[in-house]
Amino acid sequence: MTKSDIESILLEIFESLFPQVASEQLPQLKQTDIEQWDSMAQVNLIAAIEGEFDLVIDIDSASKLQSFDECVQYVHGQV
Amino acid sequence: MKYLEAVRTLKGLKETADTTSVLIASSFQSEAWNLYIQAFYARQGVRAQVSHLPFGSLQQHARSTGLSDNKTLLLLAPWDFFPKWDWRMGYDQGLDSLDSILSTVEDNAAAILSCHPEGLLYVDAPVRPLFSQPEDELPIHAAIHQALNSAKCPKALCSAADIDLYLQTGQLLNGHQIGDAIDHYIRADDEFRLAGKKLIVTDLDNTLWAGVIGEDGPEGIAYQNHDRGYPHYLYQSLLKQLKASGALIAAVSKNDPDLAELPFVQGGMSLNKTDMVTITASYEAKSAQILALSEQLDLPTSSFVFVDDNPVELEEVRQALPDVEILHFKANAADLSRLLQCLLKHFPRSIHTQEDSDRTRLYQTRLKGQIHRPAQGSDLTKYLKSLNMTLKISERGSDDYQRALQLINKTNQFNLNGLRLTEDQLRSELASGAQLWTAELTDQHGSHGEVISCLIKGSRISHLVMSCRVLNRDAEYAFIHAIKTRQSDQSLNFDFQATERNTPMQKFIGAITDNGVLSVDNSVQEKLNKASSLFTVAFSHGS
Repeated sequence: MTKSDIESILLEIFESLFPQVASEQLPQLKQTDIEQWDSMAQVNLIAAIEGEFDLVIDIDSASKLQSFDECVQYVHGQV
Repeated sequence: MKYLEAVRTLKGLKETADTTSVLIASSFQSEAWNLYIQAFYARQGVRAQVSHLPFGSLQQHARSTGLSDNKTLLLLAPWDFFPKWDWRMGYDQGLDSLDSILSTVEDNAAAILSCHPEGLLYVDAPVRPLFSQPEDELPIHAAIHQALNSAKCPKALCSAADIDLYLQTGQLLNGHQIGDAIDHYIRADDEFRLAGKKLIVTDLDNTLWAGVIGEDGPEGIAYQNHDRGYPHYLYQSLLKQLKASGALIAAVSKNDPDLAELPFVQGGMSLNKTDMVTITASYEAKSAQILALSEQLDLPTSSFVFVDDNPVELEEVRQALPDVEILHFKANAADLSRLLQCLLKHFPRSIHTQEDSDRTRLYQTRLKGQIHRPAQGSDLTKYLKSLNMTLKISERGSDDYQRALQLINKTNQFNLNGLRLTEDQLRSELASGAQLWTAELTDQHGSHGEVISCLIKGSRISHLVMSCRVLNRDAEYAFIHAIKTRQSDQSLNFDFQATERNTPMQKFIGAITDNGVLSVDNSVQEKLNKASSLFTVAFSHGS
């Protein structure tokens, strides 16, 4: 799976979780940018990435995924 | 199911889809399941509003407030039955005897499963070690599985669990495992619903045909393979085919028996009377009619599939007979396709045998000579409240009476006396001081249009009609309550006359009047007040 494929899938996941953010802003999104990215959204984000990419993300790694870009990098390193 | 597959399934749901509330009852964190549960319902064309129990409160809810008021999906772990297996508990002072443990399991199972769940998913997760010999756990696992097997609902079992995740976050399954678990549940749900279905109970008006036989007459209904009859033609022809391969078909309708049978008798439909085990028509609740049918045919209601176009009727049956599979008939292509597909799944075609061909006749014979027993239907108060119904009552004058007049001259069943009015007569009545009121009914699904029309002069109601499409919502009671309040609570007199076709009105008048005068009996006032509380009632001064 190419990095571009991963970005495209993650973009769709982020759109579903953060519908209030404009699509073109999602690639730059960080957890600190919006209050909706709270601990519950983080749980849902991790579950979504695990579910879509057939991954198991350990707690330490999960806590470090705090931006769209970090998610892309992490998934790219795993698949 | 993958995450984005669930997202897309949910996106594909139409704005007008039916909605349902679902409680996910679990002792572990289950918010990450929301999307998948919503997608599961979206596959059936239903929008689910999902709620959860607070973390760790399953036992408390099962034993105190109870779970039975909700449509509940249980997500269970071994420690919901034997709490000492929970990894999030510390070790205490030793173990009880096996008999005592099995008693605890039985007790917890009874409390949790008493909610008659919509379905359950058991996560057979590794348990916290308690015994020196792992095989000592086996009788406890066996007792849990025995309890699970007794639940009459779709049951899925998955063994994947993430104990590290559970200890750190309270979630028992990671995202990947949730998707797999939902796939298990979908298969279990399919198998459960397909098992043992024998009888299709179908509504008539706006289901077997387009239109209302009691209002539109035999010439006004449509079931042919053109125009608005097409969806009904397709539905009938599939029923005919399913009947040939051994399915039983029965009709229930809130109607006069002779009217309900008329389209079958006059011919021209795909289905004829000999295709039907029975055609039951009365003004009793449909759940009561179906239950009577179950007793007469000696078939369990779990083998019944009920098809109706009216969500209120479907809910009434769902509440009274939760093991009847209910299917919503909608005439648009997407929903119709889903319905036909569902029926084909329930009654898969197989090689026809002589027994299949004879089955309907055998059951028709069994029904002959049986006595019908009237029964009560469900209390729909809670459901009706959830519809957020509004009754907008408007006074009509000489320039906007057309719909009101049309209702008076078209309605047969909920009609005070069957008397018709010409335009001249109506104008004359209005000129001499009569008031013409209409009521428009709106609910969360949209407007049903003007459904009630009433002509009143002073305290005398000379005409009162309501479209039978909105029977069973108590709109007629709320309307009379509003008019009575508007008239400063003065007495109301009804020019009632029984006709061959106005059985629903006869029941209504019998319930609220004494000799044609609105009763002052407390029970009647309570009924009017209760009905009124189901609606937001607003008066306006015409359109």
